[in-house]
Amino acid sequence: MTSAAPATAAVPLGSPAGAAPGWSAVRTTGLTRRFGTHVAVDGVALEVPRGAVYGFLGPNGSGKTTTIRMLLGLIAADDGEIELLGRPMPERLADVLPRVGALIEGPAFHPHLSGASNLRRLDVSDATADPATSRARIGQALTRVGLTAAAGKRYRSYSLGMKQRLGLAAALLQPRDLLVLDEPTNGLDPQGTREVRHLIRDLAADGTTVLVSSHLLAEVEQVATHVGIMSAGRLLRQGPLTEVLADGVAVLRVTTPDLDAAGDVLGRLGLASVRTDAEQSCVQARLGNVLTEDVAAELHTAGVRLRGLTVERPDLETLFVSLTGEGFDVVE
Amino acid sequence: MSSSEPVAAAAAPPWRTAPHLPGAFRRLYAGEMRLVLGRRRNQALLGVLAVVPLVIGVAVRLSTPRNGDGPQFLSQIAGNGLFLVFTALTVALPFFLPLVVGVVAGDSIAGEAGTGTLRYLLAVPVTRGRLLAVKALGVASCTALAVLVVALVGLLAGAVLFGLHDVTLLSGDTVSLADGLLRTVGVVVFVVVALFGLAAGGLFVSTLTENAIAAMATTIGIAVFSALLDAVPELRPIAGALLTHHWLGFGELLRTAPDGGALLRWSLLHLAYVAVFLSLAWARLQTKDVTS
Amino acid sequence: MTRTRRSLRRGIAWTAPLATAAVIGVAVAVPMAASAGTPGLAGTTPEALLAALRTTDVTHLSGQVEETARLGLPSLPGQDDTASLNWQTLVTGTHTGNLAVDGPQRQRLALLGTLAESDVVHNGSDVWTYASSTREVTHVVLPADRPDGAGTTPDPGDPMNATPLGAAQHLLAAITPTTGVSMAENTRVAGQDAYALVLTPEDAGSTIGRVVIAVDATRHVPLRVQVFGAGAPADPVFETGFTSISYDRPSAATFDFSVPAGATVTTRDRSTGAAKQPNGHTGTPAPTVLGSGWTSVVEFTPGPGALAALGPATGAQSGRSSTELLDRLLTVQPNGDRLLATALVNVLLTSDGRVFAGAVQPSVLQQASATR
Ligand SMILES: Nc1ncnc2c1ncn2[C@@H]1O[C@H](COP(=O)(O)OP(=O)(O)OP(=O)(O)O)[C@@H](O)[C@H]1O
Ligand SMILES: [Mg+2]
Repeated sequence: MTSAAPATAAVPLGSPAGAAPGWSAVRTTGLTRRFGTHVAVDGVALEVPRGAVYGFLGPNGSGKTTTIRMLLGLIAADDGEIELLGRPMPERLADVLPRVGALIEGPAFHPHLSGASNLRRLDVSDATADPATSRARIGQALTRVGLTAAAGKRYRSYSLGMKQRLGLAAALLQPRDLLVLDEPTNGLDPQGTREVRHLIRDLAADGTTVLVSSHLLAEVEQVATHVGIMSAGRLLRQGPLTEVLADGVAVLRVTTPDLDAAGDVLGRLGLASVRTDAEQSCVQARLGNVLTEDVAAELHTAGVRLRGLTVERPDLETLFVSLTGEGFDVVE
Repeated sequence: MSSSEPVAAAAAPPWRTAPHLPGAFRRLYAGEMRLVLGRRRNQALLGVLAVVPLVIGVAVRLSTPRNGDGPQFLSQIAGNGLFLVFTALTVALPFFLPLVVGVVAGDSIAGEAGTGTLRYLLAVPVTRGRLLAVKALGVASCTALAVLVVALVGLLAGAVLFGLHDVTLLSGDTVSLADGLLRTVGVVVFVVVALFGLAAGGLFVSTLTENAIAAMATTIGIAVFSALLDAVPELRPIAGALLTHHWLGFGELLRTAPDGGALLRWSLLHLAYVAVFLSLAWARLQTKDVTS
Repeated sequence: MTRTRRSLRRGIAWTAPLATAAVIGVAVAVPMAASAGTPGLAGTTPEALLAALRTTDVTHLSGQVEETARLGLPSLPGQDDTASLNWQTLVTGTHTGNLAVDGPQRQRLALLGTLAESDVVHNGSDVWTYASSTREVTHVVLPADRPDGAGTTPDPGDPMNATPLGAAQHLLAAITPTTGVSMAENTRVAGQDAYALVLTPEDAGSTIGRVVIAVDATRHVPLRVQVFGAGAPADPVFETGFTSISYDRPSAATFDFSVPAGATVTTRDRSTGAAKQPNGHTGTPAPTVLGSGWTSVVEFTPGPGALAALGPATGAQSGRSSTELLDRLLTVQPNGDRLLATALVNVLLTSDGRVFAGAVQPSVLQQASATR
């Protein structure tokens, strides 16, 4: 027995490049959940490194919320393993969840209580929360989401964005090692959206891992270090944002009069889908794992006269649509 | 430390479980009571309960009822205000008390599920066992409070309107007021324990649905249904095991020599209902998918 | 679909309520099983048991009695209801009472209802009755020389008849030389080992097929009396037995009765023989017993008020429902008499206002009325 202080964040949990590769903020293997015959989550292997801001993406009904509910022990998995902060869930739920802040599928509070009273109810429910600091922490959380002025108003009278902010405040009542935010910017005004972005950046800078599901891909692209893309219950792609964006889809375009020679060089380097466009006098190929500077050097040694060399990286939205399909209808 | 320790230490994440602070459950319980008692609807219901003895007391004051008229003990109130407590309990037991118990118990978990606050409580985390414990304790407290409101308002109104005197028991014998008050305490305890059975049933129903109104209605329905079954002559052999059958058994305490064995048996029956319903509620809550 | 971990966990959790129910079931069943069974007792003869019953030296006891009548009567309005609990309801359904006896001078019987009680307290020359629902007290003063009431004609309305002690006393008195006496399997009643004595009237005029009296094996007190109808039905038509019994002397205070405040008191002074009737009722002649043994018949002439209540639809305001009930139960005989037939007791109301009742076939009643 050492100190009994609830020093939740006393141990810095390190960076994504952290030294202890043995454990992650979130790790699942073969996570599966059926509703009747419908498989809502199908063999998902999430890997959220510590310190990452993980954008959890996917069309409506792709299983994001269901996955998050399983992570937090709200619903049982049919199959698969879950580790949160290195501990198995839901077995170690009582140990793990005090270090996890969560916003799950929108905020939910008692309408007849004020925002502050609602937060107080949650805080007294936390067996690890110090009652002596409760008031201060509630105040801080409300300030952090810009809700101080409306703290005494009944939740019933809050606007959609104010409710969302209160939900965020609840997740921030304690210093957290992991934040799980399911669509945190839903209903927020542009300022609010920006604030949430800054908030996530700040928290990540303090070492908090953030798992954020969102449909605002531009927002995610701005803050996420990692992304995972779900579709129809499967995790299609996951990894550092740069890698995922770069992964096979970056297109190299060489503008040159020496079309044939350029095509040979690209083929020799192993670039896929080499296509020659005589009209535009350019050669295109998918960059893959080859570095752009190596391509440039090879072209030079082969004596290809370069008019232009560009690499077009798709944005997250393009990638998202290319992975999950153009179809508007919800995939069941 | 054994030699295998470093390996385990390397695999285990370098954070220690935050300890539960002293008084954590008490704070959880206080928060629960604040929530339940802060609700207007529940305050109004307790108000209705307080009105029951007041109405009876005033009615008796205005027109002295004859022997054998109206609910039990009614004709005795004018002579002794203490009987207002028993009359009020007798009047409140078939419907008003089950109504309050049904609303509070039915709402306890279904209400949280309906508003979505259940998922946030569980994510705090309040473990499901702890949640059930605090909800059960909260519902039990409200049940006791409801009975106390009827009894205390009855006692006060009775004392003010008619005065308190020595008590004529059902057996025709008369005991001192102190003895009578002691028996009244016993009556209150008996009624509270009797209602615990329904309260636990309501708690179980409450784990089954996200619709609080449905859970409340079902809980009140349990009490009504049990009373209906109790009235069916063909079911006499099993009537003694029905949830509501012994609710009025508090009359035993108003005999010259109360049958302690019977009182204990009936209370154990009510506690058996509590045990069954609570274990059902536990199993349901443990396995419940919180998808609201 | 394969059995997933989720469904497995689910199954494990639901064993908790099953286990709880099982534990409760065991807790209920074990004491039940323990109290059941047939105790092994030293052999005895019915004659010896009869003799022991008549000479038992137990003078005081107390206990709870449960009485059940299955006479085939519909349940009376207000039966074991809180408000209208009264002794008449003993003829139908199941009732519980507390009995305390301390010699022939002191008895108390309390009929227990929910939130109600009717008491009969006999102490010396005073007999008090109290009904909690109406708060009515009657006070009967017995003749000083006969404070135990012994020797007076048996009163068919005496609630003591509904106790094992009273019922056994009557039935033993009915034994005739032709009555078959035998033993049935030993039993346990109210936690006491008991012999079972069987009386078989073997008299065509009786409605009683068989009587089984459970007799405390050591103290020779009748613990339970079961009366079976002539058709040998499985359930007794009348049954009364202790559910608990103590042979300690009840405290003297048990038999004290003082009129509670607010009660209305009716006094009947029988100390000088003349019945003082309140509200101007003319005294009813005492019932007479005709015949003896199993076919004895009680004759009495109820007062005009009582007859009106029994008569068909005479428009008694509050008695409407019970009068209708009687209408359905009474069958009019060819000679104008009316018969109330039950599984055990038959009652004949003659057109001239006399009443004959007994645990006998209707023909016996008719005969009795004809010969009088
Ligand atoms: N309680 C439930 N019962 C039955 N099916 C459910 C339940 N909850 C979710 N589903 C199904 O599981 C699938 C995944 O739902 P989920 O809520 O996880 O999607 P999502 O990715 O969060 O979608 P969105 O972006 O719209 O929030 C959907 O097809 C949905 O219909
Ligand atoms: Mg969702």
